[in-house]
Amino acid sequence: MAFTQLRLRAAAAAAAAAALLCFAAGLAFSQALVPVPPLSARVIDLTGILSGSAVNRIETELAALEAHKGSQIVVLVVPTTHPEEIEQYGIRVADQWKLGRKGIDDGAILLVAKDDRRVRIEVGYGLEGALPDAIANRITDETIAPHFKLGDYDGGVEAGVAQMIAVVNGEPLPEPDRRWERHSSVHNVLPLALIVVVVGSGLLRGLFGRLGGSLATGGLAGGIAWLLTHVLALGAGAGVLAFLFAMLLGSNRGWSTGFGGGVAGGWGGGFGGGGGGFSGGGGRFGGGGASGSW
Amino acid sequence: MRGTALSWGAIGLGTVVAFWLSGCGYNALQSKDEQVKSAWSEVLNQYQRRADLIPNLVNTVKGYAAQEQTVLLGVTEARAKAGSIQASPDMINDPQALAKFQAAQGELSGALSRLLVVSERYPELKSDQNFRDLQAQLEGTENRIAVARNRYIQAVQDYNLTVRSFPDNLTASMFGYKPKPNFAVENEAVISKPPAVDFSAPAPAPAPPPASAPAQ
Repeated sequence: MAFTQLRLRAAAAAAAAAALLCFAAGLAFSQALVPVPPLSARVIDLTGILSGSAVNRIETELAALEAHKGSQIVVLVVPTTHPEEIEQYGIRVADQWKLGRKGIDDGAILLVAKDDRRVRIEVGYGLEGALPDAIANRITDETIAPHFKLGDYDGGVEAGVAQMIAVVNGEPLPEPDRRWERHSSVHNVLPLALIVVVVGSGLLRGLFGRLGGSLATGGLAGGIAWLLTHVLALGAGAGVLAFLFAMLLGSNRGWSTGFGGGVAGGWGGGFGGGGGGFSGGGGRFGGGGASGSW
Repeated sequence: MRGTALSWGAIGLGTVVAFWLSGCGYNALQSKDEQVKSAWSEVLNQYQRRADLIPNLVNTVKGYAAQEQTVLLGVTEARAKAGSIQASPDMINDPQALAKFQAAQGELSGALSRLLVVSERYPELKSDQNFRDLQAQLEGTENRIAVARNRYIQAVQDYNLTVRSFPDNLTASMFGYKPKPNFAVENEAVISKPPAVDFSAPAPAPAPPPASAPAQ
């Protein structure tokens, strides 16, 4: 008797709970979720609380991290994540952007919800070792929050990003060249550079003789490399290599091609890092990280 | 002569069956079934991670708040109870076992949130770095559980949709693929919410905890 009564009561409670939940769900869906912005840059500030110079500095640091370590970190500042919690919004952003390299999953997001006064570090699977929840929590609570409390958003984000970069740098990760291979900018540039040098040097040598033509080739190649990469040393190196290559090409066709391949390979590798757009590499996230408020 | 005709017939039949199976979702069933299984392992994995954190957390709290015996005991007991349920991969096909597993894990969630509420009263505990790290780990793990559960729910929905829709349902019934039970909605409401601050529960400490009463 008492048992059936208990069951009846439980069923009634369950029905009530279900009805309440339906209502709540309806309410939640009636409020549109905050959309995830497209991944357009390494620092996306939808609120304008970060200064332009700070954004530039952070972007440069994050780009450098990806170039030499391969990991992708992005900063996102939104006004609010309401009606979702910052954790729920964060995992949606992570699932959409797929930061980090595929299979290595070394992406992370620093998410700030300005009006909610909430900050979260979302960590990809591959960085959970370098950036465990406790460390992420220390960064949000002890580094970022004190700056934010004083209204110093630039300083908070910069200091937080610097710490994230520091811990990621301490983690042994696979070499970043795997990403270049996938983006294949090296493979696009390499044959092109080779053809240009071979054809161009042939032409210039015909015009100015062997030494003059080779010098002209070297100068041209160096100038182009400098223009494209904005690195003077790289341009000079490419110029010297192209000169040597053109000289060899003029003297002995037989073995110079093999040598040229190696030379152009080294040059192309450096070049590939400079080019290429920005997009997520296919990394996965599982909800790791920590949230804090200020 | 007859042999070749027969073998040609067999090859033809085999081809037809192969096409029919792949056309009617046999491969899709396989891959979706596998996705459900891997999503379930992730759920178990994260629950295990939480269980592994608890002894450390309890010990740390004990160091500052040993007088909170009932709350500390509640966590330890709930953990033992959740751990006693054999979380086998077959559980996902058994609605009752799944419900029992969920109930135990839900109870543990409740006990843990009571522990965190109680710990708010001890400033020294709150400023202990070890406790703060553990708390961050626990929060992170709870969030991982929520993510894993959501992904599991989606995987099961996806699988069930395939099993139930025509013509894949014919293939499914032929090979014994049944719809899988999903996480119950009532419990979902409890877990997807942030831990509720329930001051009424720990206050009447001498009374037996109400949650353990119906379970005999």
